[in-house]
Amino acid sequence: MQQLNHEIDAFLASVERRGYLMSEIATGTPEDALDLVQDTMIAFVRRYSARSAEEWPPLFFRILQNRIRDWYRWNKVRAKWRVRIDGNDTNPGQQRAAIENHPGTGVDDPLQKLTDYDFGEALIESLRNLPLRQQQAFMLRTWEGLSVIETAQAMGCSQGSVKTHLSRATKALRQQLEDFK
Amino acid sequence: MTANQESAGNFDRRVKNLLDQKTRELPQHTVGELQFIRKNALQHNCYRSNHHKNFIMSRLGAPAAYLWGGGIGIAFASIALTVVLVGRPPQQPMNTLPSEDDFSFLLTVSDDLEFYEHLEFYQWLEEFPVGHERHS
Repeated sequence: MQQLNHEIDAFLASVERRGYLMSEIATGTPEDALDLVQDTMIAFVRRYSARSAEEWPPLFFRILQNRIRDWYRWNKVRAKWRVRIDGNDTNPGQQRAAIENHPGTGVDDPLQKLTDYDFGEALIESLRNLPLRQQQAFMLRTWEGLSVIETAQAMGCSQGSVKTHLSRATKALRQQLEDFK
Repeated sequence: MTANQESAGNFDRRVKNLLDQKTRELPQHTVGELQFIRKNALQHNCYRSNHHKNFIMSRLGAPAAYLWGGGIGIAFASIALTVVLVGRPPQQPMNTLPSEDDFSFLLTVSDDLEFYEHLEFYQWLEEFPVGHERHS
């Protein structure tokens, strides 16, 4: 049992930062990202620690992606109720995006604005702007290096859908980050 | 490999390196929280492996065991309630008809009874008062 715990510990240590960054990009808030990683780790340890170590990465990311999807759904419902109660049609996410995308008063030149960002910041921003499914497909395939089959299992969709989402995500990112070539 | 594929490969590599760099540059308190979360999850696992030796618990997991426990409790409560209700001595059937005593007050009021017995007479008397004999 002690040996198994060491192995799980090592595995979780190897994926926790990537899991956190995926969640943070998806949710936009560090607190929610930490909550999602915590739920994922507890569920993973409880349900899948007895499985073989080769199966762990896709299982861990499957739980994480499910948690992120649940978070999205819950926030969608909450946003609807908030709109009804407040009588305000503007989505909080849209408000945030509008504020963040609003050009600064001192930077009128787009080229100057681009140089102020580094590629990393622009990439994170572009990833945040992707639809959730495209974001998931891109992160799992390109960054995490899961196979198409493993990505499909993690996302709970067909392999064809993974390819479609990935292709759209890559195209969108390359278009948005063209200026950094 | 075409130039387009090479370009796509370069882009993917660049993105991957950059995201890896981002994970290395996470704030120290976030890294600390992640470690804490991990240790917590593993402790949860140790607790389960040490304490959940019970057959039902280990086979079904805690939530299912709670359900079983609740179900057994409800079953026992139902049996106890049935025993109490069935074992209770039978009660006398309720007499819905009024007894004779209930009408005794009517019998004691003899004046009123007399009045009703001679009701026809009083009606006749009203119609034909004494002293005014009809002459047909």
